[in-house]
Amino acid sequence: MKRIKTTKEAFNKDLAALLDKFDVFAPSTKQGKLDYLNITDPEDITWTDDLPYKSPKETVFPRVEEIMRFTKDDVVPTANVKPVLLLGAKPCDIESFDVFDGVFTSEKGLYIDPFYKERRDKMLIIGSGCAAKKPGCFCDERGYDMTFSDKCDAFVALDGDDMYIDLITDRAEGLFSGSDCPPREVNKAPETTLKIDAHENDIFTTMPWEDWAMSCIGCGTCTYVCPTCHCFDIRDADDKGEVTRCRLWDSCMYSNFTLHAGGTNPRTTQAARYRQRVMHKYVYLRDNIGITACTGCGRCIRLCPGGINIHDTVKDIMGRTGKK
Amino acid sequence: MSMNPYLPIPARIEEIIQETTSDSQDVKTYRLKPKTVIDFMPGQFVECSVPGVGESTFGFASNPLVKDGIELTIKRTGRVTQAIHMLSAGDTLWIRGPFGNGFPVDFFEGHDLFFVVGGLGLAPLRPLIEYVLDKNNRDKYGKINMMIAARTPKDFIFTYDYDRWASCRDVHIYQTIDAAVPGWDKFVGFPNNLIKDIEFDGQNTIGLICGPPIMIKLNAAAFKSLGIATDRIYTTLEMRMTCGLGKCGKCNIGHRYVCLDGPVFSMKELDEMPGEY
Ligand SMILES: Cc1cc2nc3c(=O)[nH]c(=O)nc-3n(C[C@H](O)[C@H](O)[C@H](O)COP(=O)(O)OP(=O)(O)OC[C@H]3O[C@@H](n4cnc5c(N)ncnc54)[C@H](O)[C@@H]3O)c2cc1C
Ligand code: SF4
Ligand code: SF4
Ligand code: FES
Repeated sequence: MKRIKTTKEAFNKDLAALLDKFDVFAPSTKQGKLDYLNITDPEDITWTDDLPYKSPKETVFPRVEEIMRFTKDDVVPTANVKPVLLLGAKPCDIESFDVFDGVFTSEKGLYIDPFYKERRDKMLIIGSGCAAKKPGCFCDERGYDMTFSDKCDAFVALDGDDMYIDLITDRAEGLFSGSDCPPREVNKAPETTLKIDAHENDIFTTMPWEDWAMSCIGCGTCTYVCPTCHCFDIRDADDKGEVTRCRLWDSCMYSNFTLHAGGTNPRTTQAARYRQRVMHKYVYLRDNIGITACTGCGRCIRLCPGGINIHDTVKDIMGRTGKK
Repeated sequence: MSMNPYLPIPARIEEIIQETTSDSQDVKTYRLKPKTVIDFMPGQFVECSVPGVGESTFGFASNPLVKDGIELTIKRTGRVTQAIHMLSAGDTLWIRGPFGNGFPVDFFEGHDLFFVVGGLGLAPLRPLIEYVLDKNNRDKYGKINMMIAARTPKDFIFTYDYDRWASCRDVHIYQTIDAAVPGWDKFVGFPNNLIKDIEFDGQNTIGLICGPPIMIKLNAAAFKSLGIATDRIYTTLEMRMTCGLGKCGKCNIGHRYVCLDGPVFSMKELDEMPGEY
């Protein structure tokens, strides 16, 4: 892994040259809270140690995405947009793309989601590290190094006016100018201490899900801000007389998520819905794609109006199933 | 299927058959001619849409060995099914599929079959019935019993098929309704209370159940008590679905997706899964 050194000014100039080719998303406070925003001026990037309050999944999995359009007797898939350059992605958020890749391009090996795959294949990710954990963060317990991730194309570190860039994949070569410098020293990733080993049947009915979900109001905030939540609905819309078919985010925390037309609902309580959220992340995807779908970013904990805490729930499950 | 599994193909409605005439149920069968042939196995399903209204999930209801068209049997329930029921012959439906696992017809070979179906539950089993009754397949399967249940005499579907099915070798069709009505000379009552009166060899029978969740549970228990092991009792489940591809996260039971690993499951498999269906 090669490392180059440049200045923030030169970096911004090189980045400006990429704006034609890419939709650039980067942490910015331009709209108030720190969020990954589509920027058109490198000056709008907010260089800070803080974590954007929402995840970057929107960059390749938009909230509402037109997937096809019906003409009189044909249907045409919607052509994809400009490639995305995600800049300043934190190591935890970079991990989340492993989950998306697992679900959308390989889960059970049957179907590849062409809309996601096209965006993802074209995407460039430039990461940036964290110096300190924020309240609610637990990436370390999930086994991730907060200072660095190599699951991206390049990784940047700002030091005053100096910018260091680790070039990880071939695709990052030549995008930025700079002089060679000694490579980064990579920390050993911490040990994963927060995970569930138990079989789904051993925790499905035996855990106090009602107690844990007592204050959940089913608002869905946790799933909207989560970098790994990917459940969706498909709806048709009318665009000036033409029918478009769209995919949009859905949430397992909503009461109608599993409601059948006939009125049957296999998940009638909020406790059952919370159980689904926890188990989908920590048990079902563990079994299906071999990845626990929680990066430890803490967003769901910080933003839940009911004070529900997935970290504490998982810890409790570990205790109750004999794993401290 | 197209490389893009979300992309539907047009299917012309050739014929519409009004199946039931009762006030509580409006069921129609649509004979469709898809733009390209859709090969499917009994038990698989399609996503079917009316552009502008939306997509819904329906099991194939026709003989899988007939290649020049498919049939879907659709009950008017909500938005999409209402819109489908407004269409006429000559109109177009949009379909994508086939999805799901289907029945293990090879594993069933050499066994007797006992179908217990309630109401619309006969629709997803009809492809299997036609498949095993096909002249090239009939010898691979033993005696066939069918207990067909409906709320009232007017709620039976595919009644025009029963005589043809019953005329095949060793096929026995029984009909039952929930409560007695004047002029009805067949069974009355729930199938789980009736199947014990029908002669069959529990050791060598595959039990097939399709209907509302409560019916599945009661009849699986009845089959079990009559000697059919849980790995020889099969059902097909209905869960809310959006994608059919194991992506949208709607239809899971535990770590399994009904759209990929199902909708056909043996009772043994279901017993090993969390009871969330
Ligand atoms: C594997 C499978 C096979 C099925 N086979 C048949 C069949 O052969 N004949 C038949 O009449 N019905 C069948 N159903 C049920 C059928 O899918 C629903 O009745 C139908 O989706 C209702 O749609 P709606 O728009 O009219 O109702 P609304 O209540 O308006 O539903 C809106 C949306 O919710 C979803 N939805 C609602 N209920 C269900 C449900 N029970 N299952 C899946 N998605 C749902 C659909 O996406 C639908 O577009 C099957 C369901 C499954 C899962
Ligand atoms: S857990 Fe919290 S954020 Fe999630 S739905 Fe419940 S109340 Fe909303
Ligand atoms: S479950 Fe919560 S902590 Fe885990 S990745 Fe999602 S938002 Fe972050
Ligand atoms: S229907 Fe989408 S995951 Fe099964």
